[in-house]
Amino acid sequence: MKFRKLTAAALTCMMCIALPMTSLAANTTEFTFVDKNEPTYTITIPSTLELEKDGSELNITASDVAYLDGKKISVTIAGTDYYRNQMVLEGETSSGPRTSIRYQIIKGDEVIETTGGKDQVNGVELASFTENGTASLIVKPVITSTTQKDVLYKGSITYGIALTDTADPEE
Amino acid sequence: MKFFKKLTAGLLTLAACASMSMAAFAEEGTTSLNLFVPNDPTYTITIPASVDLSATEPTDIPVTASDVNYIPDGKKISVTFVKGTGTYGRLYMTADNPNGGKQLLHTLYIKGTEDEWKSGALEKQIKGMELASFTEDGVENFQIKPAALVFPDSTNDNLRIIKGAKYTETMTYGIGLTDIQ
Amino acid sequence: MANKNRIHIAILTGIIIILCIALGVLWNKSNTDSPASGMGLVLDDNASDWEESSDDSVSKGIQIPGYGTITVKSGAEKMEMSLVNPKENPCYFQFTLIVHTDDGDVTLYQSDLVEPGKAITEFDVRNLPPKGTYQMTVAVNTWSLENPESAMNGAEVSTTLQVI
Repeated sequence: MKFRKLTAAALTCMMCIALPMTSLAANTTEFTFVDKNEPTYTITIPSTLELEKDGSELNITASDVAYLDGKKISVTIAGTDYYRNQMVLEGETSSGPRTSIRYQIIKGDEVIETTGGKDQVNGVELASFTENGTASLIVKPVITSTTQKDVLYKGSITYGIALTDTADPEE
Repeated sequence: MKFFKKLTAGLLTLAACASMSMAAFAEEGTTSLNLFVPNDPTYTITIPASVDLSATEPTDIPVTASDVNYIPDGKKISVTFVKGTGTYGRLYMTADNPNGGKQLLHTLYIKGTEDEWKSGALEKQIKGMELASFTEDGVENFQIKPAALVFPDSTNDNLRIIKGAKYTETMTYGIGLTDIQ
Repeated sequence: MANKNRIHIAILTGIIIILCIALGVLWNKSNTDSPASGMGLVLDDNASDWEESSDDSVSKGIQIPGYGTITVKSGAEKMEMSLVNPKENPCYFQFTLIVHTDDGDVTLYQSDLVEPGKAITEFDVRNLPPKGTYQMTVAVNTWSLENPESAMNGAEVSTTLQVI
């Protein structure tokens, strides 16, 4: 009984260890094992961003990037603090009622925004890194003729940061 | 019992493999967004409807700013000269000659916030010159004088004021927010 | 007695005739068109009464309101903006909206004459440029109330147009 348990444990270990099998002549088996370094990186995002009417720069920086092993660091929108994770800021008017304003994130030619639906932009990638660098986006409020003035609008956006496979091996 | 042990071994195997494989590990961060939308600036500028110019001394012409609110810091309301009715926007008065003959022209000189007299005949000098500026309610004067005061000894009909001639001219002002220099 | 009656009747008839003439004159005056028509300058049908408080200390001049940033949707056929002729003014206003683009100046709209105390608050626009922020001039030409063909001092007010 004890022997069977020991055998099961040994087999478990063997199955889980990565074992590139180099075939040698005749009846020998060479085992090799590479203990890889853990990927490292630091992603820096601004804790606060003061928005201007014409848009404000949002910089996402990757530093100390190493050992990604062919993967990329992906920074995505995980959600916002507004209902249904919409890209909306809220504020109080001087007369009391709350009011809101939409905003967009402009990534190159792409405009990322929500239009009232639920979780519309959750998972949308804002930046990706395979080495140290900075990605710049523009966060711009959507001001219309009905936008309430003399109001401080506030909100927040939460990012997801993860290692993912690169879609294109040449990326 | 046998089955239970096999199941346990299998589960242990799976658990061990899962802990060693490098799935994407999740982190997150948050940015707070703040936006202040100020009130739009409001103001009313009052320009003179008509002014009787003095033939003997410069005339003060008042420009009034009222209901001035929410002018952004570093900005001012600037009132400028855009054009007169003369060719290329030159500033000169015209009148029928009471003695007959060609229409009379009389150049006006204008002085604004730069405190420097400029000739209305030189349109490039006067176009855009600031006449008054405001950051709050108030009245400011700019000045206009006829060329006759600059050339008092001239005998040219267009450089002296002909008695009996009714000279008229209208001006277009520019009004807008500009940076305070 | 008969003569007296005839005199009374004559006087009464005279009074009635005078009254009729006076009523006729008043009736005719109320139906006369404003002085601006029939002379190539037309009052704008879109202008409506404008209620505003005025600073009584400012008088004897032409009041020109300033404008904040104007926002309009891309491709819009109409624009909402208050083009006001303050009621104290001694002249008609004519508004022209000119947008300054990289390709040159574009006229969005030109109004007919707006009387003092009236405003245009919505109007058709054309040549609206694509999405972006542009400098815009609101040109205000003024015409005498007494003689609408006589131009008075005018203004060009600078503002910003946002097409979103």
